[in-house]
Amino acid sequence: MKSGRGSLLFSLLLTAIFCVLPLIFTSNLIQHLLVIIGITVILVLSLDMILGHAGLISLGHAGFMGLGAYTCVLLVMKYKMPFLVSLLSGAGFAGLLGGLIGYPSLRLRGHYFVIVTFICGIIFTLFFTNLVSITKGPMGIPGIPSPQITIVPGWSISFKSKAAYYYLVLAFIFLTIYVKHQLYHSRMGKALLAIREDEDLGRSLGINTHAYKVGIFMISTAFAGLAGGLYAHYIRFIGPDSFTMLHSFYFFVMNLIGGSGTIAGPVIGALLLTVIDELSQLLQPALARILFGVFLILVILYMPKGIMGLKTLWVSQMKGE
Amino acid sequence: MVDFLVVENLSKNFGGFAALSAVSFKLERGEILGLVGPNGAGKTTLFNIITGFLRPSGGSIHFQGRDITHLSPHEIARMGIVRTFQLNKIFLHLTVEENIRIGCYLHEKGGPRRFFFGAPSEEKEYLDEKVRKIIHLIGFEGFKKKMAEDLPYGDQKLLSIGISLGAEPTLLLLDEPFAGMNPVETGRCVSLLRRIMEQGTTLFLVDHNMRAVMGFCDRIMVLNFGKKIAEGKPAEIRENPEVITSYLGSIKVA
Amino acid sequence: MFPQILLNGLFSSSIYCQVALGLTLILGVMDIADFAQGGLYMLGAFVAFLIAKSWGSSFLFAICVAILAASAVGIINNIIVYQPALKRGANSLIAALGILLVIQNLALLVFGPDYQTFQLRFGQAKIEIFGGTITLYKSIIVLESCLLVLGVWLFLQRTKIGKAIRAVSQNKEGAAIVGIGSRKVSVFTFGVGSALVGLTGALVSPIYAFDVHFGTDVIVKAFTISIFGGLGSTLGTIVGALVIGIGENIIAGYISTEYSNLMTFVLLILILFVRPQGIFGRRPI
Repeated sequence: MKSGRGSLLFSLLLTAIFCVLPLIFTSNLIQHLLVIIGITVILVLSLDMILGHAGLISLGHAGFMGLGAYTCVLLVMKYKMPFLVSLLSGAGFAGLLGGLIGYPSLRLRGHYFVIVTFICGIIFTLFFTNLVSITKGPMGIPGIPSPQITIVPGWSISFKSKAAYYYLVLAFIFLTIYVKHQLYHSRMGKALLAIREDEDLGRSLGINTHAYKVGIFMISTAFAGLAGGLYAHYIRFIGPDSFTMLHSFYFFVMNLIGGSGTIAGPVIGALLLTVIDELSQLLQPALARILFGVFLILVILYMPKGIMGLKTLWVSQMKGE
Repeated sequence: MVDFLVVENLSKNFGGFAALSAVSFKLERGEILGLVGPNGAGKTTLFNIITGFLRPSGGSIHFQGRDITHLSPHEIARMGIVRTFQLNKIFLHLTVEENIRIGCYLHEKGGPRRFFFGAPSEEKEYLDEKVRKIIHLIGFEGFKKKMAEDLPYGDQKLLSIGISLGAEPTLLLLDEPFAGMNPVETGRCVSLLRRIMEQGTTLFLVDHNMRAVMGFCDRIMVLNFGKKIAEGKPAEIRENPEVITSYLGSIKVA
Repeated sequence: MFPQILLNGLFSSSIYCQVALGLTLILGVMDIADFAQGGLYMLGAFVAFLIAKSWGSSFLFAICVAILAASAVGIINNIIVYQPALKRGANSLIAALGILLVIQNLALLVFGPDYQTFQLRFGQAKIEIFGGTITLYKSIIVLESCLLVLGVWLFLQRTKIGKAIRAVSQNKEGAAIVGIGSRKVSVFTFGVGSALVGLTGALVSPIYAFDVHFGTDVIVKAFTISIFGGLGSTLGTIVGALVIGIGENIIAGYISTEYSNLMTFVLLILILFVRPQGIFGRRPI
């Protein structure tokens, strides 16, 4: 991440553009897409916190998204708690479970951790399906209310329209980006960098690599849970099929394609693949998924660094290296 | 006066194989101790155990009066013991500056306030200055922005020493610092180590380059088959019949 | 009630054990968590079903065809995806998931989204053991799995190829130095592992209704068992399968079926906390 005035100006410009998007595009479909892409961006950014910074892969993040979603919805609908409190509680619960799972499994060699996240993702889906007394099972939870945030007693904002929801999501995207940005510039960021590049070297320099891995995983799952809560109150229906391993793969591919280790990468990946997914609705769903599977294999074999990786390649070629 | 480093009866068994048997020795503050022995003698195993990367099967290690036998690597680094690795470890995909900056981890402050709002500029300057000093010490001013993977091998080894300096070690363990270096590079490395020693760091090193080790170390310890077979000044070691026998055919003599 | 739960548990354990064995072989030798095996499990069921129903041939023949089909697909996956992935240092897990998607959705296109059921006339007689009942067919499966596990163990211990597999799984470079061609070993291992998984899918096709997503939860349990039992340990796989198979039936019987998946989750977390290399695992993970 470059710092400096040029880059700051560019970021401000982008921010301004993102803020006025729903005012420019007033079509229902585009505004809907904007919200969905926005929520997806939060999720892919959370995934990149562990991939880009610590070199860890999670194939179960949709499960954590679901945890956050169900927790938030249950707190709002069953216990009548305020939206923001429930949303953050959902995120907190997802983070906590991330800690529970991460603490023992991050001691293992790299790809055993991935297996564990994959298994957990599926187990969470099984929980959503089978713990009928809590989650209403396969039928899911319909009729989730739009969020209402009370600023001061007597004055609350309702987020019923798509445009309004977009701004809600945008606010949280800025939060996520801020946290991710700070990951580059903080001491934690240096520790994660060491973990990603050479863990034993990091340990020899005093870095408690295990603690940092668990920590970043918890932060990552918390943001996934946050995205889940936002998703639930937008679509206003959730069920076990909303958070499957297929979703987890999708998010991972978005991260991979966009390029990991940057802020732009996840955004690009989320944008690109959501659009492709919308287009592929025109196809037979089974055919679309076959193509996705083949695409996955080709990407992993031939384009391991994603789009941002191609940009780096292009830049270094321009420099004449 | 508390002993600096005391290793008592250290053993390590792998399955039926005794990599180390009852190794005991003391290291004085400020001295340079060399560890030599044929391949497979247990030298790296000893280093790994002292620095927490391996658990001992028996014995104890005390550093400045504290029992460090079962501490993990990062805890041991925090106590002031840092090591380099036999298969040279540096952060290949980062620049020289970034490498050393990560080395300074222990002297950077963290915490939620600094995470969200950044560190005060005095702290940033302090760290920048630290990095500058180390780069100057290892003589890398000319290429501080170069990618570590683009450095020649000898420089990469010097870089790994530079990185460990960021942690401000009281005791620095060097695992084959001269391996793969030509005489010129070896000379540079020896000068660097001397400068480090003059700044107050105690050195404990392993290497096969007998000439460098004999010329540089105050005392030498010899391991063979996991046992300590000799300990003393370089001159004594050179005359020791057991050492000569164990090394027959495998020393790189002057 | 307990004897019935025990019998149900034994049956579940047999199924999980066979699948876990196949997965462990592949995981041990190639260090690949082949999630695509979920698709092979489903394939085994569908192929057996088709051959027996459409061709009207004997079920035994159908099972053999299913084994061959699963094995063939497994070997193809190995050759065109996994070996290139390993050579480039690419992430084989993602590749596995890609393959799984392709297999499941090709099946969707060919077989359709409906659940299939398949009645087997043979073996429906009920046997009474210690107060619980189990069908003849299921008890044959339990016996068959015991023999199969024994057979695989003997194969790994006594035959030349079996020893080669164990060698590669413990030390790839060492095995290469000694001259054991790890490409051949990996193709062979994939063939055997996939065959085991396909066989199990075929065997359970008359028992459960299945659709194209059949096998996902079995694979999850099988991986948990592999981790729990410890890689490279046949005994560990057996113990793990028994714990999960019987454990989840106990929970389903005495508490409720809602929570039986909890068993798998708790077991996974527990073993990772307490002994990450698995109960009988020798390799440090």
